[in-house]
Amino acid sequence: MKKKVMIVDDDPYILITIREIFEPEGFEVVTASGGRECLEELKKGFKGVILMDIMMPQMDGWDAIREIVARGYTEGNIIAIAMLTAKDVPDQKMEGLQEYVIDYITKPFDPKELVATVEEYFIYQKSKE
Amino acid sequence: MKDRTLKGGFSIAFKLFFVLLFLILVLTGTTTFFVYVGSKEALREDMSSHLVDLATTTALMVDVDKHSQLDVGDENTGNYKEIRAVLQSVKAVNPKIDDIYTMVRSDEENIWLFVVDTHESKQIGAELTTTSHFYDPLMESALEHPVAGEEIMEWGSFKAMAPIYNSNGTAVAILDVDVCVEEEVEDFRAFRDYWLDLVKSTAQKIDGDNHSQLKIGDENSDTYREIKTILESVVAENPEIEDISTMVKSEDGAWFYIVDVYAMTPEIGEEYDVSPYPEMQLAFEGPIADEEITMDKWGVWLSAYAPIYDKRGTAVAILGIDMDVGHVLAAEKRLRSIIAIIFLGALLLSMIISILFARHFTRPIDQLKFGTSRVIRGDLSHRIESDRKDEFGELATAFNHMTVSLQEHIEKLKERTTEVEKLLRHKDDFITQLGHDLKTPLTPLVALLPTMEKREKDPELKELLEVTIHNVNYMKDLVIKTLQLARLTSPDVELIIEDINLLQKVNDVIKSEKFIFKKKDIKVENKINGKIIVTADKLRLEELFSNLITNAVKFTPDGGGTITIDAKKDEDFVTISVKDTGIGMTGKQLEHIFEAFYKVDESRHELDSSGLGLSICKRIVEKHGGKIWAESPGKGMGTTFYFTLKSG
Repeated sequence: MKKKVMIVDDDPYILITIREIFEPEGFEVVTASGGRECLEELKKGFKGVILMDIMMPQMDGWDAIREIVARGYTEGNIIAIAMLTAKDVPDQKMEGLQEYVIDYITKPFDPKELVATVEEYFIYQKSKE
Repeated sequence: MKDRTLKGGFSIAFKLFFVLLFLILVLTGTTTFFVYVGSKEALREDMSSHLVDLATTTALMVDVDKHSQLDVGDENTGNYKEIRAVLQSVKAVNPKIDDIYTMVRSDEENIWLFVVDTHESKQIGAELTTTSHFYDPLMESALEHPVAGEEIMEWGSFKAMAPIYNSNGTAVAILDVDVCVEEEVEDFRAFRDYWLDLVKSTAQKIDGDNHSQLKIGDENSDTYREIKTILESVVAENPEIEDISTMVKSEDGAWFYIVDVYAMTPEIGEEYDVSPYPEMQLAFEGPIADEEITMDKWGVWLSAYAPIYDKRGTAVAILGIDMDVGHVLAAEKRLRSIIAIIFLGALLLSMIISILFARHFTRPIDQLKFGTSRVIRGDLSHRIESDRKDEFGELATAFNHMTVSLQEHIEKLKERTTEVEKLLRHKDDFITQLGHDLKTPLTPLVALLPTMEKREKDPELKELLEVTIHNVNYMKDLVIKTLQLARLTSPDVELIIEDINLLQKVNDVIKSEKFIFKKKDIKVENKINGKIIVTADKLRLEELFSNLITNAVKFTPDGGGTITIDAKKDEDFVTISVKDTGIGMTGKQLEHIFEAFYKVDESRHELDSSGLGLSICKRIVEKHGGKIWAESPGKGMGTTFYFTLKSG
C-alpha cells in the first residue's frame, strides 16, 4: 500500500506544494484546509503521517491535535503528527501535547529534508511491526 | 512633618558649643584673670603699703637714744619698758598685729639681735576666741580629764591639758601646756605619756580655790604670783614649752586666760638669722614690706620693716611689724570662688547659646535633608515650608522650584518613554508580522523550485531554475536571520535560563541538521563530556549551534571534511569549540567576521551567506554573558570558533 501523508494547512499554496513534493516520491497525499477537514479524513480512515500547520483560523494546530487525541486516533500508531510552523518560539498551547508530536518543521522548509523526515518515520514504523 | 532637630542638630551644636565656649572662656578668662590679679595685687599693695606706713610711723615713735643704750639683761629697765609700752600701744590699736619688735645688726653677717619685743604673757581675762589659732577643741574635754594631742602637728607643736580641781572636786579651770618640738621624736608614746603626767602633776599643785578667786587686775596678788611661780618652774625644767597657762570657761562657752607664762619672748641680744628674709636685709635703707606672705604654725603673716634713725640720720636699728593677713587670704579665696562661678556660668551660657543657635541653623538643614530623602525615595510632590526670609528661606524656595521642575521633567520623560516603548513594540510587531508574511510566500518558492528543477528536462531551463533556487534560498536565509536578529535586539525578549546538558543539546542540533552533512560527506564528531552542564536559554543555544554548524558545513568544500565539537570546563565557565576543516580565514576576515552583513570574499557565489549568522551568534553569546571568537591558521586550513557560557 502506498504511504499516506496528510497536509493540514489553510494556505492553498502549501497544499499544492506538499502534493508536488510528495507525489513524485510515491506518496499518496491527502489535503485538508483546516482541523475539521482533518478530523473528517481521519474518520474516513486515514492512516499515516499528518503534517499540521500551527497557525490556522478557527481551529489552530494544537486544538486540532487535542481533538485528534480526544477521539482516540493517536492510539495504535495509526498516525504520526509533525508540526509545520513559521514561528520558532515555543508555544504555551503545546503544554502536554509534545508527546504526540514527532517533529517540528519550520517554514520555509527544504523539500528534500521534509520528504526524508517523513520517509524515516515510515521506516521506523515498519521496523516496529 | 516631624521635626527631628534635636537628633540631627548635635554635630553643629557641638562645633558651635566649642567655638563659643572657647571664645567665652577666652574672654571671661582674660578679664577675670586680670581682675583677679589686679584685685589681688591691689589688696596686697594696699595691705603692704598700710603696713609699711605703720612701721614707718611707729619707728619714729621710738626714742632712739634710749633704745641705743639698751644692753643685754636690761629687760626690766625703765627704758625697755617705756619703749615696749609704745610698741604695745600701737599693737593695741591694730588687733591684727601679732608682734612689733626692734632689732639691731650684730658683728656677724645676717645675724641680727632682738632688742625690744612685744610678745608677753597674757593678762587675766584675755579671751581666747574659738576662731583663734590657739584654740583647740581638746580643751573642752580637758575639763574632765587630762588630754594630749594625738600627734605632733606640722610645725612641731604639741599640746597637753589637765583639769584643775577645787577642794570640792569640781574642775574649775584647765592647765594648758603648749610644746614646740624641733627634733624628731622617736617614741611618740613615751613622749605623750611624759607630757600627760607632767600636766597632770602640775595641775594638782595648783590650788583650785585660790585660782577661782582671781579677778581681772589681780596680776600682782600673791595667789597670782604663787601660781605663776609654779608655772615658771615647769618652764625652766622644760625648755621646749612655748606657753603654759590656766584657763577658765565662761557660762556662754568662751575661754579666758587666767595665769599665763609666755616663754618665747626673745631677750635683748637674742640672735636671729635674717638670711632667709631678703626684705629685712634691706630694711636699714628704707621702709619695706615682705614680698611674700609667710605661713607658719601660728597663721598667715605679712611683715613690714622701717629703719630707726639717730639724730645724725644714720639707721641704727629697724622696727618690724608682723601682721595677721588671714582675712586678706580669705578675701582672695572668695575672689577665686567668684571666678569659678563666673567660669561655670560661662560654660552653661555657651552650652545654651550654642544649642539655641545651632537649632536656628540645623532646623532648615534638617528640613532640607528630609526633603532630599523624600525626593530620593521618589516623592517629588514634597515641598519645604519655610517662612524665613534669610538664605535658608531662599534655599527652601529653590528646593521647591527644583522639585517642581523635576516633576515636570520626569512626567515628560515618562511620556516619552511610554511613547518610545510603544513604538518599539510596534516595530517588533511589525517585524514579526512582516517576517511571517514573508515566510508564507517563501515556503512554496523554496519547496517547489527544487521539485521543478528536478522534473525539468530542458538543460537551459534547468539552469535558469537553478538561478532562481539560489536566489530564493538566499532570500530565505536573509529573512530567517533578520527575524532572529530583530528578536534578539527587542527590549521585550527575555531569556529563559536553565541548566542544559551540553552533549545532549549538541546531539539534538546535529540530528536536526543531518541532511546537510550527508550532502557534502562531512563527518561530525561530538567530543563533549556528558557531564558538562551549561546555564542558557535552550532555544538560543540551539540557534547558536545551528548557526555555527551550518557555517562549518557551508565553508567546507565538497570533498568532505570533519567538524569537531568540544567543550572544556573552567571554574565558572565552559569554553566550547566548533572546529572545521574548511576554507579557513585570513587575519583580515577574522577581524570582521562577527560584523552584521559581513560576507567572506563575495566572489564565491556558490556560498549563500546573508552575513548575519555570526552576528546572531555573537548577540546570543553576549546576551548570556559570554565571549565568542574565532581562530584560523590561515586560508585553506580550517577554522575554529570558540565561545564561553556559564557552567551550571
